[in-house]
Amino acid sequence: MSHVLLLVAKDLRLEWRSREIVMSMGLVALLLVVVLAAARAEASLTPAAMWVTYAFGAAVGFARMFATERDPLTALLLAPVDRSLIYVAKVVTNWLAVVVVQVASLPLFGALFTETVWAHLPALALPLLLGGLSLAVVGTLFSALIVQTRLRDALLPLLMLPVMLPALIAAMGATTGILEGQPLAAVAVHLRLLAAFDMLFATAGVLLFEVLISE
Amino acid sequence: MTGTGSAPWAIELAGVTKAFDYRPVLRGLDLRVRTGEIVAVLGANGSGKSTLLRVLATLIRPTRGTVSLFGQDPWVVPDLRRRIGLVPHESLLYQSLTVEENLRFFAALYGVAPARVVTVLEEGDLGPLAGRRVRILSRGQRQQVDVARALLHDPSLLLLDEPFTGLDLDAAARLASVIRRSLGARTVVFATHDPAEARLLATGAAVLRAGRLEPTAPPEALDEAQLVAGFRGHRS
Repeated sequence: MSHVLLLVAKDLRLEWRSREIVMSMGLVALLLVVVLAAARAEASLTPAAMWVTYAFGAAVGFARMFATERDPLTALLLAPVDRSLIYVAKVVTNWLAVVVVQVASLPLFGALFTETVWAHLPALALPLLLGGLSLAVVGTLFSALIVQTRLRDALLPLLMLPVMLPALIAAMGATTGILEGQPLAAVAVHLRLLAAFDMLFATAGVLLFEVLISE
Repeated sequence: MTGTGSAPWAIELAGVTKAFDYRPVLRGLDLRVRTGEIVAVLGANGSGKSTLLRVLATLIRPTRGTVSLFGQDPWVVPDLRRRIGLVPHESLLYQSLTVEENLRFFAALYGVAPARVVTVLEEGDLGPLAGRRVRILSRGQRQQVDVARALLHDPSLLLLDEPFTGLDLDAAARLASVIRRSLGARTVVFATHDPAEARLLATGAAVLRAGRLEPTAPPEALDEAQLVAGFRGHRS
């Protein structure tokens, strides 16, 4: 656990200095929200607009994630640290980055799409957090897979988004229900699906990370 | 280096072959290095020196053959990694962190007391650079910090990949001095393409040509012409 905290603290310090991931995610998110709102700012489209924004923002931001690690990663692999913890730490960092972008973009969705965002903010936190975690576990896994490739910026969305589809559908389902005023119990099936998706890919990441980054 | 003796072996390679996409880079290497020995692995670009060091660092597994470090298989006993320090050709430091932040981070990963960071900074003459970000350091300074990082946890085996490449004479002399001061009873394997560098530090040498190790000797006994012929042989 202390190794995970140490790695996360290092990642956050690097991100604070470069702001590379949050800035690239944030700019893509801002662009998408404005374009989608300009095209059709309807309340019923809010969940789709939100998750399209987060998914593409994450795909762009995560591609930068291992850019600072390409060489130091070798030192991490040599250190007496369980290699799966490197994956766990990256997931935590990426999840925090997604949460920052989600929090920063909510006022835009509230202003440009529907004010009901504000009324359901506490309930919305659950699908946002679980869906954000889905993006982080899958995005980190595929980022590790393509860390040594030159076209990683282009490859990551292509690899990540199709795999993310079940989680995105569930996240949109839960968000739609909550914005329509349904109780959490009514959207529990979507939330359970998101939680299961997160567990499945987090386990896959922990088991596969060492194989993916070796050689 | 190779041969028999009562000293325990720090490194024993037997029939090590490493292939990438079915193209062998190392071909059936046998190598034994005694504990405390400083061995230079000489070879031209592309001869497999870096791959050999990465195998020794347990970063890549050989396609065939066995690797033993201090009498144990490093893939069976992963804790052996704690005893290895690696300085590859590229810097392993975080460019946006300061020298001291880098060293403190790696010290914490290895469970090394923070006081050791201060010692390593002093021993490496890095005190004036401690607060500078790695990004703004010269290649020579970065190399010094990388060596300090690799020595933080007092490794029994130090692996250096072309440590003097790209350094001017002063920087190379400073780095050689830092490395020499830190040797102790450490086993050191360093890759180089320069016979003069081999003579600077090594007590034993091996010539790697097209993935195969040539017969070895103490570096001072190696004839310049023999080494040069080895390099040309690889390139032809």
